[in-house]
Amino acid sequence: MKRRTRESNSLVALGSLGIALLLLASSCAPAAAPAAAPAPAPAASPAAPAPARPPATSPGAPSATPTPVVPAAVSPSPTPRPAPAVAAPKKGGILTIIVSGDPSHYDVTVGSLDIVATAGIMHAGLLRYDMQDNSKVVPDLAASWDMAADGRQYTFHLRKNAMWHDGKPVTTEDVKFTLGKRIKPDPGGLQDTSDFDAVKSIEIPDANTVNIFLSQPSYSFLPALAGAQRNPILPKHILEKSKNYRKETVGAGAFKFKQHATGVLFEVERFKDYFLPGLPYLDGIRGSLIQDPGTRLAALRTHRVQLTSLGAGGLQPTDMPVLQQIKGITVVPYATGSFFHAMPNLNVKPWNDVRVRRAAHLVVNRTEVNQLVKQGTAYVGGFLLRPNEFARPMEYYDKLPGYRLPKDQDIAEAKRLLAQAGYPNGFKTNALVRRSGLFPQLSAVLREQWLKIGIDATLDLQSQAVEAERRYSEQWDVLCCGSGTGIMDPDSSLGRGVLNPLFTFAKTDKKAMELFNLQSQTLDTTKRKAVLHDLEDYLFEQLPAFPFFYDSGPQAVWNEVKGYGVPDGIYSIHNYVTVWLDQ
Amino acid sequence: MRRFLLLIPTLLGISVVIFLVMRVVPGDVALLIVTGGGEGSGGVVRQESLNAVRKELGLDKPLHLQYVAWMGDVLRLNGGASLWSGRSVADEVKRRFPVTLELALMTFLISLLISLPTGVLSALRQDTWSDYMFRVVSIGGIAMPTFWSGTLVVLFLVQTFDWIPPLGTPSILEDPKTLFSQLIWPAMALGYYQAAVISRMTRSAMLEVLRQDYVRTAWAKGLRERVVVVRHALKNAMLPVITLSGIQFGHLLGGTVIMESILVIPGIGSYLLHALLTRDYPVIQSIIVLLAAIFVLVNMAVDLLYGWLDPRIRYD
Repeated sequence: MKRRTRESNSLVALGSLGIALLLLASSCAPAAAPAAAPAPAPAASPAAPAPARPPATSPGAPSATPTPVVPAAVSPSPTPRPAPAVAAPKKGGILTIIVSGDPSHYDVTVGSLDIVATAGIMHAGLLRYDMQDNSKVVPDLAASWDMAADGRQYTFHLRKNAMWHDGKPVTTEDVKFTLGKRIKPDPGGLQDTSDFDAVKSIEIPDANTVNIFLSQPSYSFLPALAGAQRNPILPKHILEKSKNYRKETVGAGAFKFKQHATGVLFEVERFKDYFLPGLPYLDGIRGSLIQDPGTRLAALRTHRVQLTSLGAGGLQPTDMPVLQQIKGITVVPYATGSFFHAMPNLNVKPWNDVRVRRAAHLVVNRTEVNQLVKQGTAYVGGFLLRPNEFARPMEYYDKLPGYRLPKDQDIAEAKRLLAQAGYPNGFKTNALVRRSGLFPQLSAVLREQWLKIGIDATLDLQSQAVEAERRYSEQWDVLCCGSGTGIMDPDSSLGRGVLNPLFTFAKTDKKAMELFNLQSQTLDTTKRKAVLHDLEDYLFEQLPAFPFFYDSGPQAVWNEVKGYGVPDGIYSIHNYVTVWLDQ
Repeated sequence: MRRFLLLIPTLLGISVVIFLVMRVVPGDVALLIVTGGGEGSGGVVRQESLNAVRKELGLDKPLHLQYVAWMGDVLRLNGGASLWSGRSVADEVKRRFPVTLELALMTFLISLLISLPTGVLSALRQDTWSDYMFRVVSIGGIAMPTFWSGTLVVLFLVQTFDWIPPLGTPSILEDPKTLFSQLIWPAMALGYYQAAVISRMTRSAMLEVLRQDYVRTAWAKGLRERVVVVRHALKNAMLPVITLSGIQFGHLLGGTVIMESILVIPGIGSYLLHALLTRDYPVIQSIIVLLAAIFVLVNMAVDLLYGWLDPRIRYD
């Protein structure tokens, strides 16, 4: 009896201790769901002055040569967009956003999403995308522009009141210097890019005018300039000293650098000398750097943050049903432009045999891949970026070998081709896979599908550092990868993907590169579309890659955030100029 | 004194090993920098760019010169600068180490509060239902991976309170309440695992001690249970528990990386993880040497504590 009493007393004591701990911890969490605490908005100011409306296209000054309408950059996304706010914008408040990584430095030209989503907010380009409809290119540092009839000359008229965050004025020298350093980068300087391959020379006839001459017309030239988060204009007085922009934080955007606590947050504050009077509305933006997907969703649900930054915001399709149930959040899907494909090494047997490549292409059930990897939310497609005005309708692909269902016919044909190529029982191969994002899942699904015809792929999962090293030196049989599209244009999706100059196909196949260059220079939309379709047909013949799908992702925004359009494209990071908080 | 002096060759050896390992491990930091972590613009990577970056970062020098340069930074107590951001390792460590230390101390305290009573009780009530219950719970704690328990913590908070701890960690002097509300949850999740390990050791040690003649004598003298357990048994059972606790504490200082990632805690673990993924050599090397030094010092402190607990043990 005594022993049982002693035991009971001990248990009671222990239980009390445990309960005490839990109560103590619980006291650190509120009982009811609190509203999260972005910085309190100041008292409503008198109605903010209406911002100067930038022209949707450049009016330009009358000139001797006719000024054709600037070609649209991309087609409107098929997904519906939130209607623009109709109430008068309120000034003040700190917008809280999620970023899914920690920027290692601040050079946005390198194109890493974490850097673009944070440091990119501080910058401005000559042009930018209209955040309500990113098929339109609108003025940014350039107040207006003209294009010559032959598409080989662009004249940009710089704003006179644009300032750098360190107080110096933005000049045409800055424009010329920055673009010059992108066209001919210094070793170890700004990132190489193919966006300006067509630029022949840049002239500055006066203090506010920049003439850019192209060696050939380029459909994607203006969209490339509009990507401020990848192709910003940088200050000459800083860039010529530091050569690269990894440690520099001076830009000309609406927000300037405030602080970066690594692993925790990246914060910017309003730049009071921004060139659009009355803008921005926000006092600042605070980016929480959250690596864990569960924590990102939790932070959004509990209103610790108000929206997810595109691309690096990291929500998954499986998060959508959860978010859609929360009152006060709007969830909008958007096309990221990221493409997923597998690329065989054309220098390696048996992938150098087009029959083997065709067999591997035919057997893949893309609908199943989309379902298993993206819960059916991605855009299955071919070599042309989707959704996009140049892409073919899905009905076209549904009839193609490799896409049609059921798969019996394709699988039979694949086996026949393999036998013809000398591999009736299949073969073993090695697939290099980056251990991040969707790549491991995608490669696992692909492996299972290839096994149906005896292609036994060993998945070589590697960290980003190792995968990058081996990717660029083509040390792989199959590269199971994808990439983000720099701009929502086939120039970028093809140029970074199947026609990437790093890889063998682009170096050796003249016809593909001729068609690619031709479409790039064709300014007429209908003609360009025809060339792109010819190119895609040719790529389906040669199969330098096996396309799967183009990614989509959910963007989630709490309803007090107004004036925020959801642009397509993983790099189309919002500049937040017109965003305001209704609270 | 002699043990303290042995610290120097130990750390020197560790520094050489980690320096060489990082140079051998695949992954080119210059390529990562030029391509933005391997993603980049997908454009051409020129050899001149790689060479220029390597020269800028001092990676083109012979290995022994790179080692000497880094050791010079270590001896100047600044650890060098990040290859990516240029920020001083020492400044980052000054900012992050207190956070990790606070989390480790909180975890350690919670684990001791749970493990010692449960271990002792489990030993005293061997083969009763309470003993089985504690053992099941402690095995569960050891088996449960911290990334899972961390995720469970977040889920529990969201589902129950529709709340998660504040993002970002203020200084203990600025806002101790917010700091506490942020760290208590990961500390409990981590503490559960630590408590499970220490509890099992406490139980084993107590069982061994309780079988000793002097304990039987104490019972026979009619002393109260509390006196027998605390004054006679526990003190002698604590020696292996202290050893284990010291090792566990050392692990905590570098092993909270998963919890730091899940709950956005800017500690040493997440800093080291980020550096590993980006091949930021000075950061990796300096942090590893720092953690090694702390680990060795903690174990020295444990050994000294031995001497205090057991007068028979004396060190040179």
